[in-house]
Amino acid sequence: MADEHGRKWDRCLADTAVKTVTGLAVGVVFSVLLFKRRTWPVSLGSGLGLGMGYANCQHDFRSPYLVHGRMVKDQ
Amino acid sequence: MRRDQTGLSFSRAIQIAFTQAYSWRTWNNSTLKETTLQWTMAARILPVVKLATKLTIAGGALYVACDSGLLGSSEQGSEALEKAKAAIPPAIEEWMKYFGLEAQLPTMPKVEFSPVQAWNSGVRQTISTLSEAPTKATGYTNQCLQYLKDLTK
Repeated sequence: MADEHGRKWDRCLADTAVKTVTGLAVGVVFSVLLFKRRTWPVSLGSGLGLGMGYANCQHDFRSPYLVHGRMVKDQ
Repeated sequence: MRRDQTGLSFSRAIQIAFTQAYSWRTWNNSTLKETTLQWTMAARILPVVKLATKLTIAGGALYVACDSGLLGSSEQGSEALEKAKAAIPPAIEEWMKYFGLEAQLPTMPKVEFSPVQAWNSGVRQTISTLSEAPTKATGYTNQCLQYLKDLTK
């Protein structure tokens, strides 16, 4: 139970970091191409990524009976 | 007034040249009109093409981010991070070889440090200190009182 809780935290932090960086990168692309190198698309993108990561973490912690398993395909 | 070999003055020569040029333009008016129309259409289409190209590139970046699972569930995000961790050192080595920096930069020493282990040990130390604090405080207080009693004897 404690191990699962720790794994959830690891997954949550990794996922939030990935989404924030992805949002930042997409925001930079949009800012350079479409919005004349302004700051607000970068802020919006990183904020969206952070929010998506937070929402995923919330969903993961609020579903204690959902076990994250892996499917092994028969070769 | 100076005159050339034909007997024309400079101002008269300019006047004749201008008249001939104007006549040439009016004689070729239809060709001039078509060329001007083509250039005008190209000038109107070019900003649209530029905007379409920018939208395609930006939309493509967003599609790649969504398709590679970076904006999906938490498992996909953590898997993407593991793949990136595994792919970055070989990519850095390739780029260093490409630019010829391999001999210049020293190799990174492998540090045996885990931030997770450090954090966990710090939390354990703190909690154990807090749990032993009342007992230890009582013991130190008793020792101080005993020392003061011995001094007053």
